[in-house]
Amino acid sequence: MSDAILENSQIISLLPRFDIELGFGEKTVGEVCSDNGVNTAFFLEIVNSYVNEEYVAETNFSLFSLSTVVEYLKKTHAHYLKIELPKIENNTFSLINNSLLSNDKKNLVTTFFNDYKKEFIDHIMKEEEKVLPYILEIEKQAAKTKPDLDFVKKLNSYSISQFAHEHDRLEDSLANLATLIIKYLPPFKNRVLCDLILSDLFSLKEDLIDHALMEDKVLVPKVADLEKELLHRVTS
Amino acid sequence: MNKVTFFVAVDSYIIRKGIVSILKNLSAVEVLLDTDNPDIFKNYVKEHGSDFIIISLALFERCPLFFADNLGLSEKTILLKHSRETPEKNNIFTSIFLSDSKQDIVVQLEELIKPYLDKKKAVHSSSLSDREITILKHVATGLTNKQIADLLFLSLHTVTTHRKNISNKLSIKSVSGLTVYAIVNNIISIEDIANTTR
Repeated sequence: MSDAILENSQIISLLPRFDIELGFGEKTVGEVCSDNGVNTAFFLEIVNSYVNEEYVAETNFSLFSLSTVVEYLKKTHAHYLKIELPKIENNTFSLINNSLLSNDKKNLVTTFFNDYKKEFIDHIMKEEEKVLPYILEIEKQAAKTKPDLDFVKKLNSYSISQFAHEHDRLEDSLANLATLIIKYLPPFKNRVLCDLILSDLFSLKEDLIDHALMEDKVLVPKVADLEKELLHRVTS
Repeated sequence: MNKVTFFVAVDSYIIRKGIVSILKNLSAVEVLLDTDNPDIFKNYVKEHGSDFIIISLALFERCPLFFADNLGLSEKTILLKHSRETPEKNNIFTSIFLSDSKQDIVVQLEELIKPYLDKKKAVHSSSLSDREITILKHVATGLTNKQIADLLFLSLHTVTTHRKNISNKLSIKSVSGLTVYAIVNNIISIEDIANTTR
C-alpha cells in the first residue's frame, strides 16, 4: 500500500473516502482494505480510474453493486464539503482580506465564491436527497422477484437520464476563479498562500471531473439499464 | 468540452483496441463505440452519428450497400488497410495503413480532426449571440434587468429571456459567476466593475 501511495500521491486524498487511516507499515493493499472493511477490487478500480483518466471508460464497474458506488460517492461529497471547499474558502478569504485589492474587487471575489459555494452545496444536496436515494431504491426493486408496481409506473415520468442532463459543470467555475487570479487580479503579496489556493483549485477541479465521469459513465448507464429492465419485466 | 467523435468498426479485437488506444491518447477525441459487429455499427450510425468512422476493409466490404445508400458518410469514413500495397480501390475514402508507424498514424489522425476541432471551438466561443454578449456586458457590470431594458429600449420580458438563455448556454446562474466569466473571456475589463454598486 505504501508503495502505491509513494508512486501516486493523489491516492492520499482517496483514503479518507474509504475511512482508511495512514500508518499501515508493510501491509499490502488487500490487507489494508480488509482491515477497514473495504471491498479491495472496488478500491483498486477507483484508484486506477483516479490515477489514469482513460481507465474509467474501460472499466467494468458492473461487477459492483450500486450501493457500493453510492456509498463511495457520498463519502466523496462529504470530502468536498467538509475538507476541500472550506480549505479553499478560508485560504481565499484570508488572501483577499489581507490584500491591497480595491473593495469592489474584494467584493467580486467574495460574492463569486459565496455564490459558487451555494451552487456547489445545492448540487450535492440534490444528489444526496433525490438522486442517490432513487438509485438505491431502483436497485432494491430490481432485486425483488415482484417489484413495486407504483414505483415502476413512475419510471415512465422520471428517468436517470434527466439527471444526466441537469448535471452542472461545477468545475468550469473553479477554472474561471483560477484564471481570474492568474490573469486579471493584481499580484498578491502573499505568494505562498496564493500558489496554494491555485494548486487546490486545480486539484479540486480534476477531482470533480473524475467524479462527474464516474457519475455519467458508470452510474447513469447502469441505472438506465435497470430502468429499462424493470419496465420490460412489468410490461411483458 | 467539445470533442471530435469516432465510431470504430474493426473485426480484429487486437487491432480495434489498438486503434481505440491511439484515439484515446489524442486530445479532445471521444470514441463513442467500438465494435466488430456490422449490424450494431450500422444501427449506431443511423441513430447517433459521429464525426468520423474508422472501419476495417473486411467489415467495409461486408456492408457495401450501406455506404452506397448513405453517401454523406464517405467524407468522414476512414478505411483501415493492411499496407500501402493493398490494391487501390475505394479511392474516395481516406485510408489509414496498419503498416505505418504509430507516429505516422497519430500525425495523420491529428490532421484529419483538426478542422473539426477548430469548427467546434469556434461554435463554442461564439455560442452567445451579439445581442446576448451586449446584455451579458451590462449584467456583468452590475445593471439590473430593468436598467438594461431601459438602456437598450427593450421590454423587460425580452431582457429576462436573453438572460435565461445566457445562463443556460454558459451554465452559470449567479451574477458574480457571469461577471467573472465576462472578465475571463475579455467581454468586460476588470476595471469596469469599479463603477458598479454591488
